[in-house]
Amino acid sequence: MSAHPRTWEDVARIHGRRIYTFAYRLTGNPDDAADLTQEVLLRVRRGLDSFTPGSFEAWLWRITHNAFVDEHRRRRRRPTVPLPDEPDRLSAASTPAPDEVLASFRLGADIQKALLALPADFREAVVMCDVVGLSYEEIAEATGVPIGTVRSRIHRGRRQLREWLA
Amino acid sequence: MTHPADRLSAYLDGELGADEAAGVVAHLGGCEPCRRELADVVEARASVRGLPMLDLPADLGPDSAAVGARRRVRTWVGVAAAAAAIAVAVALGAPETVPVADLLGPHTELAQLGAAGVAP
Repeated sequence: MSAHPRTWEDVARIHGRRIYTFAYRLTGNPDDAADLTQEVLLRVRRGLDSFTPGSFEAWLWRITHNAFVDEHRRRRRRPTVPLPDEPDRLSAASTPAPDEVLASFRLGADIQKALLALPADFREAVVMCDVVGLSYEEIAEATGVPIGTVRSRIHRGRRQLREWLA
Repeated sequence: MTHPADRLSAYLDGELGADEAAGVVAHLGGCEPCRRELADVVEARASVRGLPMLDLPADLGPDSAAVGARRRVRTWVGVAAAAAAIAVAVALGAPETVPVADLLGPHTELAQLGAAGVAP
């Protein structure tokens, strides 16, 4: 059993970067990522008091998954507009050389586009595994599917990404 | 012999038991297509893992003086929209039981969340 944060501010402080990066990789733009992150933190705030001892990570990522699914359903009901090509906002902590930054923007933008082209459940499994760093078991718990399904989504998602990026 | 397929990613991620992993390794020794498939998922995994982590925007974080600012702006836009909607509803002779909360949308509560973050 892991200790869990007592307030939503603690959650934002400790897990905020991972939640926001997850949201950005899944939505592909800063506004939707911020909305999804805020929704997650709101649900955390509402649910924190009733959190029972167990895996805080599993609880947090189940909330995050549910918020993503709700947002995804909502977006499918309204007309979509093309996403702008925006470079990633790099973490202030990293200061690579300018030419490396430009190269990483181009490469990163291609990878981000490919992620967005994946089916949502493949995209979520790949991002939870390779961006958030969850185990297959944690992803299965967060998304409510068998571990075999997680394995299949990750593998098929990666193969598709490779095909598009090659 | 059955190809490992999605067990290749599980093997790469250290998600297989020792016996199953040994089976995959043995298969790879004699199967060029599966070696290529493994190389593909290695590349894809490295690409996604190479994406930078992004900082939480200041107006979403708990420590900034700007907490909730983004939401408050949106809320005032929402309030203006709601006022306009009510004006239209009244003009059209609609009943006065317009659910204002619905018109305001979810951002009101989100603004309160932001405001709560400013409190000590």
